[in-house]
Amino acid sequence: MKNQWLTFITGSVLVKVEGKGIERLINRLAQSGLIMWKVKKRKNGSVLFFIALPDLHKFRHAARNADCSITLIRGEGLPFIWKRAIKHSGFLVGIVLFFLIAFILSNITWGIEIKGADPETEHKMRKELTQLGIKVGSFHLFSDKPDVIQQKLTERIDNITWIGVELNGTTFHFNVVQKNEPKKPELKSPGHLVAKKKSSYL
Amino acid sequence: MAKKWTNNIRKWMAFKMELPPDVVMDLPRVTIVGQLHIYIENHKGLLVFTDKELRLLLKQGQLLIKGKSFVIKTILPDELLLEGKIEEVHYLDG
Repeated sequence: MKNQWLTFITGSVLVKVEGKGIERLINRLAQSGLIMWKVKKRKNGSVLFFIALPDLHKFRHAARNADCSITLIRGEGLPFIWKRAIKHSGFLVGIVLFFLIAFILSNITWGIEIKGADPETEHKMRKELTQLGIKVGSFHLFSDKPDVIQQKLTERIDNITWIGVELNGTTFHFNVVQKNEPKKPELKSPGHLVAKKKSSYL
Repeated sequence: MAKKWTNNIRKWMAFKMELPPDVVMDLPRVTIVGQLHIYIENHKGLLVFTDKELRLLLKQGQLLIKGKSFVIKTILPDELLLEGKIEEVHYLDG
């Protein structure tokens, strides 16, 4: 028996045979080395079967002087699907374009989030990041790896103890721990009591 | 007469030398799986094919298969795989 996958790849043709001497034709085809499958007889006497697309030439040759009428109904398998795909090439282009666009868009930085930094440091960080080439709209592929960014940022910004860089989807998350020197408590020493208003008698 | 002689010799050889008779005597080999399908090797051509009946030419006589909704799954020069509901298998002497 012929491999079904192989016939799918090489393609097959559905043939309809009508008239007298169908059996004789089938015998002749089989004798000439053709492989037929799914041979079905319909109620009205016509016979349907599949032959391999590469055998079509041989089939024509063998069936040339048969008494019955032969119609090729349709083709099945990869070559025909391919033909149809070329005919409707818009779909194919659309599919390719879809994946391309999805790939490109998912590789662009769409957000930078900085947590745990005061506005001043954040501004500084954003400036440094722009210098490193990370801004909204830049590609992930061409920018550095998160751990490299982490190293560079900690080198460049002084008042940062540690920075956690994480690329989550299309957003960079920066977790900043600042060098916060504890504020010195206000010195409280004995002082004078000074009135603001002048005193008055009632 | 001579044909009958050779046939007899072949039969004798097949049985005495324990050779497979389908090879020596050019007989059909029929494999039936339940009522689902029937596989015939070494037939000599199709005579009649409808969805209820299949008649095959053998070297000697014919083979008649009856059933329902017959579909020939594959046909090769001397092999045939038939699917459907097989109800009867007859040997018709020629």
